[in-house]
Amino acid sequence: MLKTILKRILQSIPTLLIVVTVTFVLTRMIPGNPARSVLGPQASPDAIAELEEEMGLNKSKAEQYVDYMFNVLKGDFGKSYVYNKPVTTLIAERIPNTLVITLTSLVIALIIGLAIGVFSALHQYSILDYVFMILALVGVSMPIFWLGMMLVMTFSVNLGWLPALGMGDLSNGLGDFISHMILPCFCLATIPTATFARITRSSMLEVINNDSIKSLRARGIKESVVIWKHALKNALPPIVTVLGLQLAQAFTGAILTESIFSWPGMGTMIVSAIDNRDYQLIQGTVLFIAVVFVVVNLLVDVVYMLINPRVSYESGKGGK
Amino acid sequence: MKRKSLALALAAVLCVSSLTACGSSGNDSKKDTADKGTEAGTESGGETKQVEKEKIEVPDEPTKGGTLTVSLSSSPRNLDPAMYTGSYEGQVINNVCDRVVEYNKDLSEIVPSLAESWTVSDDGLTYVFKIRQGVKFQKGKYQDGREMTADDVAYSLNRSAKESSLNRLDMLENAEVTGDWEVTCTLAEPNAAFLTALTDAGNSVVPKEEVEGWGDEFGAHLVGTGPFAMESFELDQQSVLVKNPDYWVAEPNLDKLVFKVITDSNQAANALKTGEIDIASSITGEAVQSVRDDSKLQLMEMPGLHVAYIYFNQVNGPTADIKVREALIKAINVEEMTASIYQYGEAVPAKLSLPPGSWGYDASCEELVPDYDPEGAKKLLTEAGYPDGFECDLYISNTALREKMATLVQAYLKTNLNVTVNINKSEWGTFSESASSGNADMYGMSWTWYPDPYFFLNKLFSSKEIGALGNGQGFSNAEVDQLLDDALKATDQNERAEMYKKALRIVTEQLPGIFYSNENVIHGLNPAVQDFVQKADNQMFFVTPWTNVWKVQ
Amino acid sequence: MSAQNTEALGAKAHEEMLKKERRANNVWNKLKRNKTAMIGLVIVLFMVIIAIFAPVITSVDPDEIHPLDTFLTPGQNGHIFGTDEFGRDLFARILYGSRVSIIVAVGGTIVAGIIGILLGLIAGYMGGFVDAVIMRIMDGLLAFPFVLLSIILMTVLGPGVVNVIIAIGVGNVPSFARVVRGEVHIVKNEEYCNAGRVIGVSNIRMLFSHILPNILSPVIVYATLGVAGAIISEAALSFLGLGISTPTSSWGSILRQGKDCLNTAPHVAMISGLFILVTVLGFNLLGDGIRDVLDPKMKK
Repeated sequence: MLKTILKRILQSIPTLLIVVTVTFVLTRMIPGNPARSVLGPQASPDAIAELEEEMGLNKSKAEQYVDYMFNVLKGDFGKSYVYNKPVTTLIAERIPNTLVITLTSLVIALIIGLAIGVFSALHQYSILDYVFMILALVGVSMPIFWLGMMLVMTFSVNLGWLPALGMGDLSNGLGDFISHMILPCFCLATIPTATFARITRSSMLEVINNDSIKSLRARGIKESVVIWKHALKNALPPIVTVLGLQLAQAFTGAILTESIFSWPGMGTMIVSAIDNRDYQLIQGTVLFIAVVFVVVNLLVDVVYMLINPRVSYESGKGGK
Repeated sequence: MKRKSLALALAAVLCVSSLTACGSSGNDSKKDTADKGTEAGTESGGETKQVEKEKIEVPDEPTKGGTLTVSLSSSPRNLDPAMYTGSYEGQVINNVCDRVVEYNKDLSEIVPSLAESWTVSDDGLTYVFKIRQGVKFQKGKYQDGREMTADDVAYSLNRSAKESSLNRLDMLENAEVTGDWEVTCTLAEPNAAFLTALTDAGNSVVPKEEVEGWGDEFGAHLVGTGPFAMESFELDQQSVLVKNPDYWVAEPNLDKLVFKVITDSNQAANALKTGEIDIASSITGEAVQSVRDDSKLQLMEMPGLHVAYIYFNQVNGPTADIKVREALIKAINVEEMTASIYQYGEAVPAKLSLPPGSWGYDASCEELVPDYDPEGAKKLLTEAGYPDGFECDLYISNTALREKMATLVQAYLKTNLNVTVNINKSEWGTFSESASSGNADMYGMSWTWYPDPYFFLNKLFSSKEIGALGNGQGFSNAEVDQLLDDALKATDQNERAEMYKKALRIVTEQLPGIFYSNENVIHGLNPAVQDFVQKADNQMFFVTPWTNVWKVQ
Repeated sequence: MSAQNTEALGAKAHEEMLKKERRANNVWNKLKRNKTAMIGLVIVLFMVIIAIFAPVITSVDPDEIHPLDTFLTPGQNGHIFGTDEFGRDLFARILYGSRVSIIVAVGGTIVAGIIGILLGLIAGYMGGFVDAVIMRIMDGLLAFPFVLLSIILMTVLGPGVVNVIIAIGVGNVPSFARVVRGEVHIVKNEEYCNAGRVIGVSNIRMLFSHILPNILSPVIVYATLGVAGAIISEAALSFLGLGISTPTSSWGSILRQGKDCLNTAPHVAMISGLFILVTVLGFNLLGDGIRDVLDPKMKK
C-alpha cells in the first residue's frame, strides 16, 4: 500500500507542473495593463513604464515564465502590487476566513446528511423518506447564489434576525461572530448536505440488504449496533469519495458565497485580483488552491484505501 | 462590489483632495434631491410618505471624547502621500497631515494652513510662502514630535513633484528654503492652479526622518502635523487614528477616529442602523433610500463636483460630424435617463461639462445643449447621410452605474435612430487604455476634481491633453486652447472665470458629448454626530479652523 | 464487392438497426414508466418550448425600456412578472432569457462532451504513455475550481454567448474525459473487444463502432446531469458580471440585476432564480431517471 501511496504522490508532480503552467498562461492571457490598473487614471506614461519594469513585465513571456517557475520552486509567490504585500502574506491573512465557513458547513452537512441518509434507508418508501429525498433533490439543484440572496432578503431584510453581510468580529463577542456565519454556512452546506443524504441512503440500502448484515441481525446483535457500527462502516467508501469531491468543490462554493455575503476570504480576494489584473496575486492564489486540491485528493485516496483495503487504487475509483 | 468600488475609485482618484463650492447652496440642494427621491419613489410604485425623523437631545456645549467610526467604501492602500494612487487614501491622509494651504469650508477660497501667508510674483512663476511657527509633528519612531520647519515643507513638495506617479504637482520646478521660515516655489510656466494643487492630500507636509526611516513602509506609519495620529492600519479592514492633543488649530473633541472599510453600500447602511459606524460615506443605490426612510438616521446630500458624461470621437467615425453628434444628443432623453440610472435620487441631471459648483460655470450655456427630440434627431441623421443608422462601440468601465447608462443609451439610440451600440465593458486598466487611444467611437466615464475650472476644461478639452484619458476623443479647437492658456496665466479669479466661461461656451457649441449627471455627495449619519460638514469634493475633515466634530454621548 | 456480399451486409445492417430500435423502444418504455424521469422530462420540455416559442407567447420586446415604469410589481399594468430597473417587461425577458440559458448549457455540455469523449476514448484505449499524458493534463485542469477556470476564461475571452459556451465547455472537459476513460477500461477487456482485436479490426473502427456504443449509457446520463450543472454555471458567471453582454437577457443576468434591488423589487431575483432552480431540477430528475433505466446498478 505504501507503494501505491508513493506512486500517487509521484503522479501529482506532473499535475502540479501543469497547474503552474496553465496558471501562468491563463493569467498572461487576461487583457489589460496591470501597471495602469495599479497606478490609476492620472498615471503618467513614465510612471507606468517604470512600474512595468519593476514588475518584470517588459521581459519576454518566456523569461517571465522561467522566473516565475524558479520563484515558485523557491516558495516565492511574488508580491501583489495592488496591496503592496507578499502574496503569501495575503493568502495567510485570508485563508482562515475561508476555512472557517467551508469546514464548518462541511461538518454540518456531513452530520445532517448522514443522519438523513441512514434514516431514509431504514424507512425506505415512508412519507418522510419521500420528503427528504425530494428536499435533497432540490438541494443538489440549488443555485446557491440565489439561495444566498433569498436568505438575506428573508432573515436580514424582512425579519432582521441575522446580519446580512460581512464577517463578525470576535472582539464583539462570540455571538456576533457566529451570527455572521449562519447564513453563509447555510448557503454553503446546502449542496453537500443533499449530496451526502442521497449517497448515504443508496449506499446504506445496498449494504443493509446484503447477507453479512442479515446474519448479524440473525445472531441477535442489537439493531442500533448493526446499523451504526457495521452497516454504516460498510457503506462508507462511496461517502468518502463524495466527501473528497465536496471538499474539492467547497472552494467553488466559497467564491460565490463569499461574494454574496461580502465575506473577506480567498474567494472575494481572487475575484478582485482578477478585476485589478493583479497578476502575482491571481497566480499565487490559483496555484495555492490547486495545490490544496491535489493534496486533498491524495488524502482522500489514502483514506479510501485505509477504510477499504480490499479495493486497490487502480480499479477502486470511477469517474470523479 | 468590485464594480462599485471601481466607480468610486474613479471618482475619488480624480477628486484627489480638498476643495470647493457651494456651502451656502448646500441646504437648498438637499431639499431638491430629497424631492427627486420621493418622485422616483412614486414612479416605481413606492409610497410617497415623508419620514418623520426622530430628534435627539443635543447639549449646547460640545462633549469631549468618544470614538467616531466612519465607513469607507474602498480600502486605502498606501497612505504615503507621495505614493498613494488609490481612492480613499486622501480621507485618512487629510486627517493625519496638513498641507501648506487648504480650501475653506465651501471650497470658495484657498486659505492659509501651514503657510501663514504667501505672495505671487507678477509673472506668476514664483510663489513665496511664509511658514507657520510652533507647529509640531506627531511623535513617531524616528523623531520625537519636533517642530515642523521650512525644510520639511520644501522636502515634502519636492518629493511629491518628483516621486508621485500621478503628476500631482508637475507644474512645480523646484521648492527651496529661502529664509528661516520661508519657502520659495518656482514654476516652469505660469499656472494659476498651483495653489489648488497644493491642497491635495498628496502634497501633505511630512517629516523627512520618518519617510526615510520607514522607507516603503512609511504609508502604514504615516506621521504629519494633523489633528489625529495614526495608531494602526489594517489593509481592507480599518485605519485607527487617535487624537493629537497638541494640534495647532484646536484640540480635537474626539478621542479616536476610525475609518472602517465596508465595500457594500447596503452593508454600510446596516452597520449605521446597528450603531457599528457613525457615518457611512459614499453610499449609493438602495442604501440611500434605506437611510432616508429610517427615522433614527440622517441623510446628508449635496451636489458634488462631479460630471458623468459620454464623450464622442471628434476625429474618426460617424461622430466626427457635428450633425451626427447633435442627432445622438437629441435622441437621448437625459432627464429620464438620469432618473433611471439614479433611482434613489443620488444625482441631478446635468447639461454642461463643468459642474455647477465650479466658479467657471455659466448657466446661460445650458440652452446651447439640444433638447430631447427624437424626430429632429432622425432628420439630422438622415441629412448626415445615415438614414438607416450605423453601428458603433461604446466603451465603459465595469461599474454598475456605467452599465446602466450604457444599457439605456443603447436602447434610446436603437429605438430612435436605429443606431446599434455595442457595449465594451472592461476593468479600469483596459478601459482607460481604449478610451485614451482615440479609437473609441464613444466612451462613458465621470470626472471629479477641484472647483477650479482648469481641472475640468483643460483636462477634457485642451489639445495638449489629446492622448490622455481626459481628452481621449481628440477635441481640438484653437480658440479654446488660447483661452485656456490665458486663463492659467491670469491671477485674478474673476478674470479667469470670464475666460473659462468663454471657453465653456465654445466647447458646448461643439457638442463634444452628453454631460448627463452631477452625482451628489451623500453621507448617512447617526444623529449623535455633531458639526460634521459635507464638502462638495467628498473629502471629510474632522478638525479644522471651521469645524471640530463631536459626538453626543 | 459482390452483390451477395452487399446484400448480406445490408441484411446484417438492417438487423442491427432493428435491434437498436427494439433496444431504444425498450428504453423508452421503461423511461415512460419511470416517474422521476417523466417529471423531469415534462419540466425540460416545458422550458424548451417556452424558449422556442417566446415570440409567440409574448409580443413584447424584451429589450424595450420604459424609464418611467421601473420596478412594477408582478401583475401591475399588465406585466405578468412586473418590470425591472429599466422598466423592461420581466416576463418577456425571462422567456427570451431561457433561450440563452438553455443554448449555453446544452452547447457547453456538447462541446465538453465531444472533446471529453475523444480524449477519454484515446486515453482509455491506448493506455500507457498517451493515457498518462492526457490524464495528467486532465488532472491539472481538474485542480482548478470549475468556477475559477470559467471566470478566468471569460475574462480572457470577453462577454458573449459563444464565449460562455467555450468557458463552460472547457471547464467540463476533464470530468467527461475521466468518466469515458473509466468506462473504456471496463469495456475494452470484455470478450467481444478481445475477439475483435484478434481478428484484426482497426483501432478506429474498434473505438467508434464497438467501444463507443457500449459506453454511451453512462455518457448520456453524465451529459444530462452536466446540462443541469452548466445552467448553474452560466447563471454563476452572469451573476459575477462575466456572462452575456447587454441588453440580451439570460436568467443569470436577470438574477444579477435583482441582487441590486432586493429591497425595492424582490420579484426580479425571486422569479429568475426560481426558473433556474426548476430547470436544473428538471435536468437532474431526467438524468436520475435515465440512469435508473439504462443501468440500474450504476451509482454516482
